[in-house]
Amino acid sequence: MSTPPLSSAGVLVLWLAAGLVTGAWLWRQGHPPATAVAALVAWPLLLVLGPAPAAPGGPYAERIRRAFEGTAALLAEAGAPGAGELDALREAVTHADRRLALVDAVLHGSDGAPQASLARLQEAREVAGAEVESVLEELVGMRISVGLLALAPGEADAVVSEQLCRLRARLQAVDELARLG
Amino acid sequence: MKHYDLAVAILARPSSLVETEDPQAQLSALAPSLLALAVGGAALFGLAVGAFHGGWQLLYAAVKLPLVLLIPIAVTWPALRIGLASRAEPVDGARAALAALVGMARVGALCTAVAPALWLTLSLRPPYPVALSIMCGCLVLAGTPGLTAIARGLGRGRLQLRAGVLTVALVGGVLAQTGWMLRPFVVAPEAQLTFLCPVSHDVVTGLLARVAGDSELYAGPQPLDCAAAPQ
Repeated sequence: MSTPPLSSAGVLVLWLAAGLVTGAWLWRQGHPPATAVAALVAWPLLLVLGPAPAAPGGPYAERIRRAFEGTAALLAEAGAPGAGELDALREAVTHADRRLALVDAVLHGSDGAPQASLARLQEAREVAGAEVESVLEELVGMRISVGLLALAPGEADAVVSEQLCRLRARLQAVDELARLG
Repeated sequence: MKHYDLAVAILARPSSLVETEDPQAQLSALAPSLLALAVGGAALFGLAVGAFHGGWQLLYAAVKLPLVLLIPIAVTWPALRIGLASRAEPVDGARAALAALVGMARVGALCTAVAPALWLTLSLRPPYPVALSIMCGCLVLAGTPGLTAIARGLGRGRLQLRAGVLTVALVGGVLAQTGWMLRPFVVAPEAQLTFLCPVSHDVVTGLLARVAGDSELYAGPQPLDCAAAPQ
């Protein structure tokens, strides 16, 4: 009888190694931890999974998408830097938007809750919503500045970065919502 | 979905789990539960089978039975998908994987259902060939609905028959050989215990030779069926 080229232990190690790599990849793609662990043993079946679907957006999701896509395109066309700041601002706005969605859900399904608490939450939600709207409006308004600054490229970098940082700082007011919870 | 609802859906209407608008999301969400049902059920079945000998065979069989279920489907799944793909009706990868996992989970759930009866039967200490036949029969009982679920999940319309034939031929063939490689499962109480038999022949050659009583084929250090008690 000939010796098998690969022992059972070798096959098992190879299988688990492939499962480990697949599980790590799924984890990075945003899939649940249990799915990543399941890939350890059933990785051939889970290789077909693509990136996990993004979390649902809030009430301003579509406006955020349009505002940031337009601004990013303009910044790239004008050759102005600030893509990093823009991404950070987008993340902050999206985060605030999702929290608004959460508050909306709480307000929607809060039958029987104390009226005083609901009123405070509603007031805070309106303040935060107005802040998000204001930031989005300023972002659209900033495009004009970018266009003007494209004529003086040397000064564009600092001004764009400063404006984006200022907008991000304004969004911190939305964090007040968390304390109300 | 709660685990009880999931188990009911797997047994009563497996197609409802596969026929979904977003197979990717469904696969990502259900894969751990489906796999746990499949592996857990097969391990319980293995415990029942291992009880015929007792001792370490309880653990050996409980470890090997899930592999008998998992390996053939994982190995044949790409071939099934390619074999069923056509220009007119491509097979969605996530849907095919979901069908395979649902089929495996169905086998696992049925193995769980069969395990107590199998354990009771084997505890009556039937002769070794009878015990082996009973285990094989239970596996066929639990496995056939699982293969059916896979075939139904993989093929739609005209592909249904093709999917059924291909699934049974491919998965069934690899399942038989995997079982052969990972034997013994049923071990006679008096037999010497071993985790795996030495690799010898394939399942068809081995079984044919056994039927023909070709003793030379098994002239190695251990008999072909190393699970049977020495005569």
